[in-house]
Amino acid sequence: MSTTTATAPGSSVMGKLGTWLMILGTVALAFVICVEMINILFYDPFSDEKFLFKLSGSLSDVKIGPLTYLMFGSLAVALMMGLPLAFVTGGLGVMFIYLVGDSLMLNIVPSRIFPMMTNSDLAAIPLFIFMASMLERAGLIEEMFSVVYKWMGGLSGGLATATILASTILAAMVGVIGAAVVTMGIIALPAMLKRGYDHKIALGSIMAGGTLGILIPPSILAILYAVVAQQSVGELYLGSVIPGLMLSGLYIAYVLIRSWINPKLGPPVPVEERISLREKLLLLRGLIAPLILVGLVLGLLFGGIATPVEAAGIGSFGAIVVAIMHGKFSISGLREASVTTAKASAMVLWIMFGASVFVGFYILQGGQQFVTDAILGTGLSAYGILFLLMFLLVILGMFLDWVGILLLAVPIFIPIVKALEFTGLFGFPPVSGDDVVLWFGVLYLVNMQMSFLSPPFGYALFYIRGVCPPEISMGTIFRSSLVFLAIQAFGLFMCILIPGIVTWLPGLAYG
Amino acid sequence: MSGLEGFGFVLPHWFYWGWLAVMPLIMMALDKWSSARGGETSVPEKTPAEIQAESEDPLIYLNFEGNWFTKTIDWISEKSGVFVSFWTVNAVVFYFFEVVMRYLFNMPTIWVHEASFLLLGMQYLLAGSFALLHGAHVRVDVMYNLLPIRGRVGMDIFTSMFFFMFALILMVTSWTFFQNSYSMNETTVETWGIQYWPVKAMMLLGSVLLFLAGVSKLIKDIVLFVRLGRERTA
Repeated sequence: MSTTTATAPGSSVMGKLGTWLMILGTVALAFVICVEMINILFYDPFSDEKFLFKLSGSLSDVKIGPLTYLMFGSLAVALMMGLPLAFVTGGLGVMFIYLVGDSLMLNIVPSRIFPMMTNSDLAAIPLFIFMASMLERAGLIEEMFSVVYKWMGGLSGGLATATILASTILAAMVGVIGAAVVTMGIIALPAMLKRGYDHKIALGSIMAGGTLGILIPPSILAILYAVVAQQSVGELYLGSVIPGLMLSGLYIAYVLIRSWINPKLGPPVPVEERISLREKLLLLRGLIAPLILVGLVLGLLFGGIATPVEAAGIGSFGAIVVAIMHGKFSISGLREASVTTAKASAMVLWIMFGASVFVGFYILQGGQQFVTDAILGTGLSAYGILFLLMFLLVILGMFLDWVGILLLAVPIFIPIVKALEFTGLFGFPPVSGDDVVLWFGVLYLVNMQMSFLSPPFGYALFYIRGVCPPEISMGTIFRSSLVFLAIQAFGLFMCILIPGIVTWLPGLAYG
Repeated sequence: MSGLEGFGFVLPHWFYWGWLAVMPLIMMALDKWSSARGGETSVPEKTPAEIQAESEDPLIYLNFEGNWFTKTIDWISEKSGVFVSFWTVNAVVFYFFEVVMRYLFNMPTIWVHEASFLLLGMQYLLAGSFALLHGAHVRVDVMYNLLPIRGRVGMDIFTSMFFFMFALILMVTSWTFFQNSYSMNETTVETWGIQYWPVKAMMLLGSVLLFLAGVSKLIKDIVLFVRLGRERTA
């Protein structure tokens, strides 16, 4: 044991009390679990015989209203205690199934999980993660950054713009944000700080750019939404293209306007360090391989030539080829990319498994109808309800992981949205009934960007903290995210106001 | 295979299962061989939750390994995780093969999709224990972060009871699930007709592995909790 295991100062009484409470709680729970396991395994579920006691069915008379508070209340408490999301939802799901139903009803657990194991759309998740991991190993991401930097360096605020541009391209290669923010932080932040960039603009552009990965195709979140809402992945991808580019454009516009007004915020690279147009064109060679790959994957996808899964497979294969071309391919590299993929996709899928048990049971008990009635019963207009849902998503996003939000909230929200009619706001065009679920999906994706940036628990803040030099305080990181949060909120509002931003492209392609 | 003529190349069932069992072993051997010959070693890439766990989960940042028993279980989790990880490469090659066959030779295959999503499905299940070992399962750290180290370990011990509810029930019910499937030799309804029961067997195996990994974590947590308590009073 190392000596760094200092415990909290003082409060030894509190510590002792906590210890005993913990031991008591654990032993009591373990005892109940043992007794119930014996009941489940060795006693006939139809008879009244039991070992010591039997709790199954003890909540069977509880109405759905109180059950809702009970289920989601215990969910919130158990989550706060720090058990991984997948096991909180799974464990509580199992517990409530047993308490409300009986031991036979527990057999719905594997039958909720199995369809997800054999879902062909979900197979795109590991493949897209694998592709991104392989590309990162090939050194493509660094290369792309250096090229975009050299192109944009001469502008005021050029490095920040380059960061956003590069992350937009990066977003078209990866479907999750983790790697993107870390990589960009490592490369772009020192470059910007060296030139004396304003900290808030430097940090904000990295974080905001990094979150684009979950909106711009191929986004993993879009795949999950499509599976949960039973939509086409392709349509959702097409729908998120324009909002993604719009947000990226808004970020760039903000950076450029700020540094145009006050050039000190983002000084351009000195003239002697700039390079000629010829050199710039030569540099573009480094971008050829990644751009071809991105073009190939998105082309296959949008051209209707390959399904998202197949496109992901081709992309992964291409990424291996690119790695071989760059001389960066090795068996150990392949192993590490595969291991990362397995861990990341296991995390996502286990949350799906757990949450589908929990939410599946809740919906089975009529929870769906209860929530729908409660929300529709508030008497709010369709847009009022939409704002309420968006607000709930933002609040959830501050605490919960995005996969968790998707699986806990979206299955319950979608029927509500389906039941509403969106007739257009301030004289803007309405959303036609068929497009509502798609439109809501993209709104959800845009909304989730905010969850990555919102203090105090946004993921992007967390990643950037890891790569920041020590002189930048957490407070600066928080403040730098605020403006970009406002831009995202504005983007979200635009998508609500003008549904065409979302529905135009899919409508064009799928009719 | 008389019913499958005219579909071009169809992967035989025995070869599919056999290959899944052998291929990772070949890759692991190759990996060992190339690193023994001074081939470059690659740095592992951390998933977001792992980065989080490294600064928050006491077991992980203290690098606490426990006794021989937990070391054995952790070794099993680690190796099984690397084993199933290599399956991804198969899926990549399969899908590439499918698209090439369809567009260049105009001969879509009947087995690629099932072969790939089934192997990935088994991978998710089996990698659960591996992810648990590495702290790759994401948690909400709002309150957890505020606790002192010993408090976090204690909290982990308490909340592990909810984990065991899930893991135990998953084990018991997936056994029934598997048995039903095995007794009627269930296959998929598609033309390829691959057996379903091995996939369900992997569900059982995955939940057993997850349960074992959870037991190992619980033992490590308890040992660490006691040890931290002694250190404080000492």
